[in-house]
Amino acid sequence: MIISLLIYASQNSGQAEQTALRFTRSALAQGHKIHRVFFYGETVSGISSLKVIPRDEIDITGQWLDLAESDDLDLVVCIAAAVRRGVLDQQECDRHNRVAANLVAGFNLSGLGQLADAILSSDRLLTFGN
Amino acid sequence: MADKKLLLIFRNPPFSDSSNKDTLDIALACSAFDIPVSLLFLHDAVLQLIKGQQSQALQQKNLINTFKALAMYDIDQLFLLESDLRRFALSTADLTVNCQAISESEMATLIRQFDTVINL
Repeated sequence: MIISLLIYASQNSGQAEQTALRFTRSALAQGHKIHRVFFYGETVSGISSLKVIPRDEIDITGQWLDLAESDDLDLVVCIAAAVRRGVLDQQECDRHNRVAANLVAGFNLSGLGQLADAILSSDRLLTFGN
Repeated sequence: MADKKLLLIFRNPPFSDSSNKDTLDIALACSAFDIPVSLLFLHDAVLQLIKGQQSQALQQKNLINTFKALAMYDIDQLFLLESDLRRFALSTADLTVNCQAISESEMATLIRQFDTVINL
């Protein structure tokens, strides 16, 4: 089955994103294809390379990157949600004349059209929210 | 690509968090991709459709104008629960957009008609 995920939760309250990560691992292990993971709303705040995680806590963003590398995941961050929260790639940094780009490398900023495509291209869209 | 019908569920009151605007943005984007979109307003979410809301005092954007423009995006299937209208002593005439009031059992039937349901 082709599956896409919509993640709409805060990294700092609740465990929706961790559940999404564990779901993704299980789905891949069972032979399903993950078409796209779309990060929307508050989730986006955590995809910043300026974030410092205490050493004894889990870096969930890093775990997505590990999974993206091993299983070729498409990690898409909603550009409107990101820009308003100060999560910028180099192009948005230049466009808005800000001091630094901080989007974690391996994630891509794009529009809600990528979510529409995920709906059209997947057998299931699962939302992990609050 | 297969045809997909999308249902978006609103559950939160106006001027609370960003979920109503975020859901509305999904509606507009998916409609632009020719995905048929329907909307269901549950519980406190009904309150954002009441006529004559003045959000200036809150310094917040009003979504009412976007709701009114939905018809231009071919989004005209809007649903809410009769029980929610009763709870707030409202009728569909109090609302700024045309909505169909349905029962709980009709809602169950409605939701099953969609390929994708998003409930932020």
